[in-house]
Amino acid sequence: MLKAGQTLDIIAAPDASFRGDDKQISVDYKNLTKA
Amino acid sequence: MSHGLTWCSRGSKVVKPGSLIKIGDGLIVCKVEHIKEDRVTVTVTNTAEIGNSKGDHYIRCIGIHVLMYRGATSGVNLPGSRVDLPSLTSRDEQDIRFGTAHSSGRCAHQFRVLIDCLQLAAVKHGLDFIAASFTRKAEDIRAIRDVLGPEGKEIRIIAKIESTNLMNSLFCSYAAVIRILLSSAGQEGLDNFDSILAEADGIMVARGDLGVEIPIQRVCMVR
Repeated sequence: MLKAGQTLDIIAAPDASFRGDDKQISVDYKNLTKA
Repeated sequence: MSHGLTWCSRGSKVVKPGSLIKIGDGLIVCKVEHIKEDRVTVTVTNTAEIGNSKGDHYIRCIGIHVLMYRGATSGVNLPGSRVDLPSLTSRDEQDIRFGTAHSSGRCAHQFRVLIDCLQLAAVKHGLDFIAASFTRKAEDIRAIRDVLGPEGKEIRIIAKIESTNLMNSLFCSYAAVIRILLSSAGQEGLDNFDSILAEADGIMVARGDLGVEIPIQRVCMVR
């Protein structure tokens, strides 16, 4: 759960979320709950 | 330790403090606070749930429940940030030249993906139009024409306008009509729109992504 006002880090990862056939950047949130 | 999302390094390079990052078709809106190397710290501006139910990832916000068709990822819109991504990808080129029905599953979820399928079958099945998603400059249209080649010369190309930069340029082009909206318009975008208009066979105001990039009430003005 994301709550209004909380901070969040978006971290660049070499293998994250971008593939050669993408036209849009994506985020990967599978690690979101690993606080 | 704080929660964290990951994305490609391109994202970290184009945003600035104060930039907005919209996740999942705008369901989650974040504001960039600061950037340190490849770590972007944002403040979440609205409450939303990201979850996993029976293997399906979803975002739930203000009563809207959206399944993420790519698994645990969702698209990002970066209003006002210039993203240097190709409009014609290697996959598009492959689809245009050697289209088969093998990837018809890509049609199942989103209109944008359906457009990709039209590209896929363009030459082989003699379609009339290609709707070029995320067109950012005239070169994107010319690149599609190059791929189509002589055998695809009758196929018309429609440039989809779905980015903030092109939206701003559109306002510039019709400045006499909607001059009041010119305050945020950029000359570079104007040049892009005019050249795209000259190169393409038509323009489509793609309200989906555009409606995420700009306030929804401005979309009708763009149209």
